Amino acid sequence: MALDTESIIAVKKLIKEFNLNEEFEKIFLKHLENESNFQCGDEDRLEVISLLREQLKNG
Amino acid sequence: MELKIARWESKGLRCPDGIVNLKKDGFKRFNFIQMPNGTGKTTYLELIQAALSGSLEGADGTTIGKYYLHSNPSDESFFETDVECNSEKITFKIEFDFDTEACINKSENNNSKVKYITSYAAGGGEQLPGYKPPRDIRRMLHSEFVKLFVFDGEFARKLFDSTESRAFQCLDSICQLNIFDKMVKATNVYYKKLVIETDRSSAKTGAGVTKAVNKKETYEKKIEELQKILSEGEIELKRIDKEVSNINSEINEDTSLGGNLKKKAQDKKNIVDSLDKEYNKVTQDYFDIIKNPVNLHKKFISSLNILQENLYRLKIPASATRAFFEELTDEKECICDREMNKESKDAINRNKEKYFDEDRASIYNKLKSDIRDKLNAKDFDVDVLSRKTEEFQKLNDQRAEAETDLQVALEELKMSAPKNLANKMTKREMLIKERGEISKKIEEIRSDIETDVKKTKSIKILKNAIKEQEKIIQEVQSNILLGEDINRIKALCENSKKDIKQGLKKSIINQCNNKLAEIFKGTKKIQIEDIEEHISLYKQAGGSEGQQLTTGILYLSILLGRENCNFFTIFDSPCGPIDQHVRVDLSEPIVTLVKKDGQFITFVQSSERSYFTTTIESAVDENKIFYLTIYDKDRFSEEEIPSLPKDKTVETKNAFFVLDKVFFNNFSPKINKAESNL
Repeated sequence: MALDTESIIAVKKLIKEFNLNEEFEKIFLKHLENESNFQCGDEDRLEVISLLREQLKNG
Repeated sequence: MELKIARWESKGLRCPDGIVNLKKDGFKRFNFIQMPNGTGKTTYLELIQAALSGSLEGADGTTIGKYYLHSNPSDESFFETDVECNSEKITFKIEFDFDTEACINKSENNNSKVKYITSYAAGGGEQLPGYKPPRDIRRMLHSEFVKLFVFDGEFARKLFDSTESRAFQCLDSICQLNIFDKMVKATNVYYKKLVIETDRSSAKTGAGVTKAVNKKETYEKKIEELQKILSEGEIELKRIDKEVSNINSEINEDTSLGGNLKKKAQDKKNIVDSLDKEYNKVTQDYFDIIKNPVNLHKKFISSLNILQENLYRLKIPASATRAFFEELTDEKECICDREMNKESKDAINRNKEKYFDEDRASIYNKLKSDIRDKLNAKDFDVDVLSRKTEEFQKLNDQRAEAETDLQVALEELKMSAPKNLANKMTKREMLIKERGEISKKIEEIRSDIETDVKKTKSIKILKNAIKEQEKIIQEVQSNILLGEDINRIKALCENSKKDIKQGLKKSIINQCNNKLAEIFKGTKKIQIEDIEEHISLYKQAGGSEGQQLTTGILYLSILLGRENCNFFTIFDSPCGPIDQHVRVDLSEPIVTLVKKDGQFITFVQSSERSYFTTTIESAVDENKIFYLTIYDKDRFSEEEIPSLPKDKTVETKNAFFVLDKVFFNNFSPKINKAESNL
């Protein structure tokens, strides 16, 4: 909802600059979407960070 | 998304009891609610914000207590408002439970509480306990977001205040840039939760790894040196043994030596060898003796005797087996002489397992018999240790003496030997000495039990120290990797926020400036230069106060417009301290800014009508405006109040609600009743 196209483009651009993989991008954007819809709690955020770290390991 | 406020009702709070119904004759584009100072305009504004955002849920007692009505307390206190979201009615109600005593005494320990109730058709129309707005609108009712459409002149002014960061907070709220902050905060929690804490202060850093690696390398180098001593020593020993053996052969084969001296030396050597053998045997026996504690001290013997006696006293049966109980139940009578009837048999079968203790009984019995056998054995010698010590010392002396005799004999032999043979004998001595030194070094390494890694020669202890350092390295490296991951995620969040903010800011400034160009022309032209923490206007310190407020409202409406929101706007005390001649800078643009199907609600006092509501009235159809005047009962003298239109007046417990345009425009009380009586 709050994540408009411009914001998504900005985040995608940065993910590319950071050399992060597609799966990382998918997880991160999905999280931002959930967060903007007030569907995230502290535990969810920690879980997402774990998933993102997995992707960092995968390169 | 369209959001309109239909009504609100309050009772027993610091604002007039009664209902404000904005939908009575259909929603109006402009809604003027006139209330004299001190009637409760700000309380209305705050309660509307609190009802919509749920901000009082979980608030402290003091915050809640400020809504307590001291002058006229009521049994029931609540605030309820109906809003329509895309024509669906949602009701928010806050029920107050005041800590009356604390409110009256203004005590810091105030236990006032609130209870929220929410109801809407999609939620089943029932009253849901708690603040539970429909999911699709919840985001829009966040407390920071609500401030964007329910605000006062002070809030709008703060958008331009360089000491405040309101402008950015609004941008943050509407575009939810704070979701990146939440993620950054979570990364800190994640790191703290997962970081491996060690007793090394630098264990989270590269320095921690370097330190552990250096230590590991030192230990490895030390092991390498020790292993080199061992392996080279072993080779040397073999070489020396071989060389000594060869020299021995050469000496033995040499006929130049005197036969008697040679024989004498050989005899002495045989004695030494024989004593060495005996010495080894006695040493072994000696260790066997001291391994048994009864040989070390007589107290062991007396204690064992006591133990043995106590075990006998216990009368532990030889066995209490299953068979014993089975046989017992076959008897006609029990061992206690009672008849072995069915009840007795059942009781024995039921309880017998408690008495199965064969293993323990057998251990006790074995222990008992072992002690007895040992202490009563014919060959048991209580003085064995002292005798063996004496024997050992005697043998040691004999051995030393025989060794000296051998050395003397060898010296005599060497003295009588020709030079080359004497040299061989000297060399043999030196080799044997060298062998001893090497053996000593090897023994020092093999038998060292020093635990201090800095001093030890034990390869085993050093290997354990290496393992410990490896563990630290692994932990520190895990922490470093974790830190690197966290920093990457953090950097992504922070940069995302920065980039998105830049893009949004540019776009919003453009939209605002385009609209401002339409509103303010010629000498009044103003443009936004930047929106950072506050709004700064281009090439001037700032427009008139009216222009600033207009720009602020415009900024907020453009922010709301980004979300495709057509929300009602409540603007409390818009003109406040603004001079009359610049009020049109605010009132004229508002007519443009409020959408045709919008809902603009403003709380004003009579002094704010001039050049504000009057300007709007002149530009808008009369039927698009809602007029309401609310004032406290008994506050003003009758002379100060215009005649009340009875059919348009609602009298409540503590206020009059007058729904009339003429009354609205003529209401200008200046003197309080109390003052007029003076």
